[in-house]
Amino acid sequence: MNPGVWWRKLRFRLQRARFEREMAEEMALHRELRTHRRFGNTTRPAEQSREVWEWAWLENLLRDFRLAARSLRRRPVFTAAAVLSLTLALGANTAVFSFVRGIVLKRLPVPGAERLVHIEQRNEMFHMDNCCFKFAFYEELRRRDTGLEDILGVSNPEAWLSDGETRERAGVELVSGNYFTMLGVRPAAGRLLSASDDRVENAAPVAVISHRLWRNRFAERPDTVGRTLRVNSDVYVIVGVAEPGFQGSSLHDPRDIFIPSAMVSRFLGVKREEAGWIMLLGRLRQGVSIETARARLNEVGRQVQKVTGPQMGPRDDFLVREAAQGLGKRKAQWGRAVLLLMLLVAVVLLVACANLSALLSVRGVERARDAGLRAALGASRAALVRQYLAEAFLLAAGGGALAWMLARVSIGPLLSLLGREGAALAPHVQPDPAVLAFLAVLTLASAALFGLYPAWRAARTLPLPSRAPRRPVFAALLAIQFALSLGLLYGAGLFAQTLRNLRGIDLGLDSGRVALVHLDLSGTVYEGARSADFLRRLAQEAQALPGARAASLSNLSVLSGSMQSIVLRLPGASTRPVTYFMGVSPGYFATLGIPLLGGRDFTPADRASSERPVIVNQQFARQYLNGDALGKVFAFGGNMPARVVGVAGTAKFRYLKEEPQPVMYLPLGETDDAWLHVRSTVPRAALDAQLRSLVASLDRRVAITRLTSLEAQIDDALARERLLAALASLLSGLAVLLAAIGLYGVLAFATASRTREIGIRMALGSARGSIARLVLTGSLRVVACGVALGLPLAWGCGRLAESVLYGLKAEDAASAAGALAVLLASALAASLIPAWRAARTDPASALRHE
Amino acid sequence: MSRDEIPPGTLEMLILRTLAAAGPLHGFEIAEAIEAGSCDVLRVEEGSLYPALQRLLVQGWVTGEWGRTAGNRRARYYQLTAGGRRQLEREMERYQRVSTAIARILAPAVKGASK
Repeated sequence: MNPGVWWRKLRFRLQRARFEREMAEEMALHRELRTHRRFGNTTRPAEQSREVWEWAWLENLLRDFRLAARSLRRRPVFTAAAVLSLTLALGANTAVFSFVRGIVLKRLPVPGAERLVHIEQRNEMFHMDNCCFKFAFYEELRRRDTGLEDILGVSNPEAWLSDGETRERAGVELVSGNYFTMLGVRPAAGRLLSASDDRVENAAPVAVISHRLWRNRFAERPDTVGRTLRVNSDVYVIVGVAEPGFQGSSLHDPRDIFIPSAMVSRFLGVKREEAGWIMLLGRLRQGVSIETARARLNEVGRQVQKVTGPQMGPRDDFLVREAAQGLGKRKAQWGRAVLLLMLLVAVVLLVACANLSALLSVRGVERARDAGLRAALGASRAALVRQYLAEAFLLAAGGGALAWMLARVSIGPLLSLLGREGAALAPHVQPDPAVLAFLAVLTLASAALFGLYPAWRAARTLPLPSRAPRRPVFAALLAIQFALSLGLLYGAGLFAQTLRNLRGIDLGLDSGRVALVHLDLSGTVYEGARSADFLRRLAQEAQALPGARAASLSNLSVLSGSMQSIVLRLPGASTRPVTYFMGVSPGYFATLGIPLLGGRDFTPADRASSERPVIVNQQFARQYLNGDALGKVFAFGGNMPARVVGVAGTAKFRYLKEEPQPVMYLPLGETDDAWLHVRSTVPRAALDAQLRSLVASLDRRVAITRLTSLEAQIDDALARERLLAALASLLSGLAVLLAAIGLYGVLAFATASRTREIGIRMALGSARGSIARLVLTGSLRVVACGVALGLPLAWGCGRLAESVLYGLKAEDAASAAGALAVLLASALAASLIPAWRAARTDPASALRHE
Repeated sequence: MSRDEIPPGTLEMLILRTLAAAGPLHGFEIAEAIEAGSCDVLRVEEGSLYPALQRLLVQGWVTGEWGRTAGNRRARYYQLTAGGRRQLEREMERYQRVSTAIARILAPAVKGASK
């Protein structure tokens, strides 16, 4: 259409009153001047003139929506209930979709991210996947034909960023020379790093910063390039700023400072050619599959490793994984749980749609007389369908708009359910335009889903009014709701039991009220031997705090997923097994509540002795020393002699779900960072304050990098299960409530329309009890259908969730029984009121009932 | 006195032509001008005149400005736009083509009758 015409018509719409006025005036003049002839009908020319200006389709549409709005206003309770249920269902879908988008769908913001692959190697001996390779291996591998276009190498240390007064933690990415060119990142200012920056070790102290850091720290000043940045104790020249949005090679672990890998010794304390420290990200050549690359890499990689080391075992395969999100593991960790949640909320939406479809159909029957009248007055079938659909769209639009607000406010609390992980995911889990588009599509789709059947039904029954609703369809709509609800309830039961089972795991330690403080001594005066003195003093002072029961130090914290392992040389053994180990200070076992089963704890004197005194756990004793460990001598690592002075109980080390693991405890030596553990009777918040001021009073320069508790640490480990359990219960509760409301609505209508029949039955001698039974059996039949449909569905859900269950199978009788009980109870509750009302029917008035 | 209705679709052309010849006119004057111009053969119904004027306004071929009549009454004066002039040319050309074609078909019958 001509834009001028559009514009003029639009102006007309906005100045309609003026148009009418001017038209009337114009015609009045005409009438006066033409005295010799009658003007005739004046309404019709005015109307025809007006029509010229109108958009016919728009007027029709607006009329449909006005009618729909009026009819919805007439039933405020129904309308409010419908909008509320849609708000909850659509809101839940929107909120969960923002998780799916942020965790599963998003990619690194670089071109060709879908072809990125992460290269690791299985390490049979240490039961883990090796993330890191030697630099020489990386350089040689890049030169070979591996089916990869190019490979980049990075390492991701945390560092202190300081400028005179303030010190803050910053994420650093040490990058190979080809990093920015391979990823296709452009500079926002200055230049990016190139191969020449990375050639000679420690030669070029230069850095590129992220756009975020440029904005937050330098206010995007153009003179930032050329200025210096103090990272740890070294000074780097800023040569450029990366493009906005680029935050390093791991989507969910943002980095702000990019430094050539030639500077690695400044961060990891090893020369570039030493040890294995570099992580590899490759990009597949166009048309090369990930399997081909894997096969190729296993062949070439082994050859290269023979030259560069380290020598790997025959079963230590190279692992090549899809890495559109870069190096991070959050998609692997959270993806399944998040998709399961998406499934759950989608089911809730289906329940809500089935529910509304049933309720709208019931209303349609109630309004059939009204519709018949309109049809008799000439309204077309299409016009009626349009009006009913308009109602559905209005309801959905109302629900959708409120759902957007609900989703926006619920994302925060949902993220906090994830504990520490939530904070890392927060920048990506956002109600952004893509999520809004998803909500819009979902809203329209649900309107069509729940609106089409009632509209079609209403049009089909014209012009004969008040034909009774077709029972099978109503029954089916209700049965579907109960079936889906049963599936959700079952899933909720499985997740709740999983969480309970995990909480019930015997940790082998007492996790109640133990505060954990992580201290970073790097860059302070407490380096080397002086750190041990400082830490010992700290532990002593902590023990003296009011309310403190015990305090001690270690170099890692249990149940956080972190670990260290080392090779053992046991007397008379041909193999060299591997054990977890950690350094602890005297009093560690008492602080954590791990029982000492034999021997003694460490003493401050232990550090000095040449034959290392060690404490092993019971699992270690059983597995490696025939259960009789005390006094035994063996060696570890590079032939370091050790004597067992104590045996401790076996406690969980890395994960809640792990099998008993052998652990060796060493006296805590010199260290740059340590965990202080304090068991106290003081409440958490007060204890945290005590510890902060204690550390500050000893030395302000020592930074507390984390302050948490053993319980919080365990909660973090259970974040996924807690999220699933909480949301599944909430959502299944919502679904059951909706199904019950649906059942109530349909039953209330059905009994009301059978008032006359019931009256006759009663007049013929039916007892009130039998009338109530009549209603109840009707509803029970529907619920039974729902259960028959729902049980296989529940089993299916269980199968899908199997990998996240713990301590129970996908087929769980207790969950099934619980789900059935809740379902039947709510169905019964929904049926009782209509049944009771039917039983109280007064036959005399019922027979007069029209 | 019997007068003929204007054939459908030609009223807009006549209005444009009238405005092109006479300059700004209000509704009544347009109707008068068309009727007078056709020696009172054609009759302009108010019921078609005003909707036709609205169509011309929507298309942007005429503009309407409020002014004063000789008798000092407020009236809307319609004026041709440049687009309206082009449209008039197009319409007249088309009308010429169609009426020539119709005349060609009717011609033998006319000849036969005159014999």
